Amino acid sequence: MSEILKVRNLKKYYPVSSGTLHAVDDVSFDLNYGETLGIVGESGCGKSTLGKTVLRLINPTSGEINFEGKDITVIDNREFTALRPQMQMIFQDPMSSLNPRMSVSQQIAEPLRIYKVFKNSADLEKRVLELMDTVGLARRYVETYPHELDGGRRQRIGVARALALNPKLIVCDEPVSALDVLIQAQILNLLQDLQKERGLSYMFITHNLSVVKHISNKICVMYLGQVIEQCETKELFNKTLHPYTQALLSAIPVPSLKNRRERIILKGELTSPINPKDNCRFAPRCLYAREECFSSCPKLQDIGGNHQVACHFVKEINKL
Amino acid sequence: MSDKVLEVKNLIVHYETDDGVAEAVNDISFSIGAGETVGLVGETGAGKTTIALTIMGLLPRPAGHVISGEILLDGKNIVETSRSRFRQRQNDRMMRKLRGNDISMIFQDPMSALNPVLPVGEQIAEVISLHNKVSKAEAVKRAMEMMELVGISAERYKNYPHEFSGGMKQRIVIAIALACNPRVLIADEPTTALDVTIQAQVLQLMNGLKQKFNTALLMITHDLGVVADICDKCGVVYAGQMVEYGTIEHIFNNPSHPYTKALFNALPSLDKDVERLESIPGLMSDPMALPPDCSFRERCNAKCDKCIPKDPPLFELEPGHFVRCYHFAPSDWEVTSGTAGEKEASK
Repeated sequence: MSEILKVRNLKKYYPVSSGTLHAVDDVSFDLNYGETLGIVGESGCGKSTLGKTVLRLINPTSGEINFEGKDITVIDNREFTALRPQMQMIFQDPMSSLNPRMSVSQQIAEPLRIYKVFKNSADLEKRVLELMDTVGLARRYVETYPHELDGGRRQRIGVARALALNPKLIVCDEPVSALDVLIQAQILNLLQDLQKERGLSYMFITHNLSVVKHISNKICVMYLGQVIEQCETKELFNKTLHPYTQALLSAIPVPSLKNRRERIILKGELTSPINPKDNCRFAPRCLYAREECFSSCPKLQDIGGNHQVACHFVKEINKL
Repeated sequence: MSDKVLEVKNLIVHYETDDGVAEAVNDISFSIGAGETVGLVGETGAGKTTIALTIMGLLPRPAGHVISGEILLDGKNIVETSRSRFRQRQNDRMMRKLRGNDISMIFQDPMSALNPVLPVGEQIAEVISLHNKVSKAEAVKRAMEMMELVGISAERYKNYPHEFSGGMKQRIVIAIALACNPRVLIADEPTTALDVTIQAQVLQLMNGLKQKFNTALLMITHDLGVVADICDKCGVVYAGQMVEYGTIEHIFNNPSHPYTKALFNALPSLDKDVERLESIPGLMSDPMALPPDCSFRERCNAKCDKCIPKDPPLFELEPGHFVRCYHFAPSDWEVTSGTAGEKEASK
């Protein structure tokens, strides 16, 4: 068994006053041991909801989440509590995800305390210091509070907390979006080192395509709750097939004056995820949209090489 | 290139707080011509926003002080370095007339820049009637024209900010900033809060409007990609100093300061595959305790014998390309040949 995580037809709907909000709509993917799956999309496309649902921080409306072969949507709470240490999360904004009234050592010790890993406090302290070394936080910060630290160090606390219980899977929800590029590079390197050392599997959620290209083995591109393109990272960047992914890629400002790519400027913005009709959700903004796009929703189809695209006219557009 | 519309000369800004003096901006000089775009890049806390606020005359009081330097708008100085309250009040009155009319600013977060309890159209009309002697009806008409110009239907004049998406709100902010056809537009991270596809729309819009109105644009950002997209010249700011300044060809094709190089190397690239990102250790020096020598020295991976314990001046590497690093000191340059300030002033 090579998949640590197998998600099938996962849905999360929220009832709102004007109908049902389809935050995550029929998403399926696999994540292998020791690999990184990148989830990209614009704000509001449901990528954070997906991340939280996979860890059951939010309960899904329907679908299966198989963690190491066990469907965690159906197991009871006691069984799930035992599984929880193996799946952790790193949050986007280290300032709001840390408790401002807890010192660094308390923050990192908290998961260890909750799971009563150590019987005496000397062992606990030792483990906290070990974790600080692992994530590259100098030991002199052990009694400081989050507000005294800069963004990069705060995020390192977030990583240390996630690592405390020796997880197998970490969901990283925009872990570097709030950081400057030099600090971003430090944290990305740290995450990669940890993956190599401990064989961690990451689900890496971000809106930054260059970051996701750097760190992921596989990528899912999401649009309004649905996965519209999914394949290996190399394949995605060499053979971008979905018109949305193409536009997304072309819209990234490239920090170079050479090989500038032609820009596809999309019209309009994300449409509402409330009561979506049964059409291609990208159709209103798509350059190639035709009648059929507005009447039926394209399914993810494999077009070879494990490259899945949800578009009626993918072959025509890309002349395959 | 046309004449300089905005010129910043040897600007030094300090924040005087209870904990000490934060040297936020140390000797920054640059100029922008009509229709030209200058980008300022740097990390959080490098002093980029302080530069913008100083130009706008919006430094937080009582902490913020312009210690010395000049900001010339069409050759006329608009900063007050005196601490006399009378002089400052005089300057405030003058700035109030200039702001929105001659110099405008686009802020990072469009939600907090707009008034949530005023329809967006009225917020545009407000600027127009403040600076022009026009009737209410005329101001409304011009506000509606501005809305159409930034790609929002004039029918939404009476809508409130919360009824718009992030990208639309930023368009409204741009409409407000450009309503009086300013000579200088300062954009402080205008697209940081937006998604890439929306960012592309907004940048395209700004570029088009800049050309149409021939505005001088100061673009403050941390995204080198945005700079490559719309700027003509670029300055890299580190610890309140310009460490490298030149045209974008200089900066992107021949980045020379070790910090600029580090910035480029730390970026994950879409074009090439790298196993591991290069990063430099440490953090930017605390503006409350800047070292007496090169402020980047501690983190620099190109330190050499040339690095003397003194703040380096800007050296001209090639015409128009300045680098603040001893590495590029001409062979005939001597420590005694002048302080950083004098060197720059003579350039």
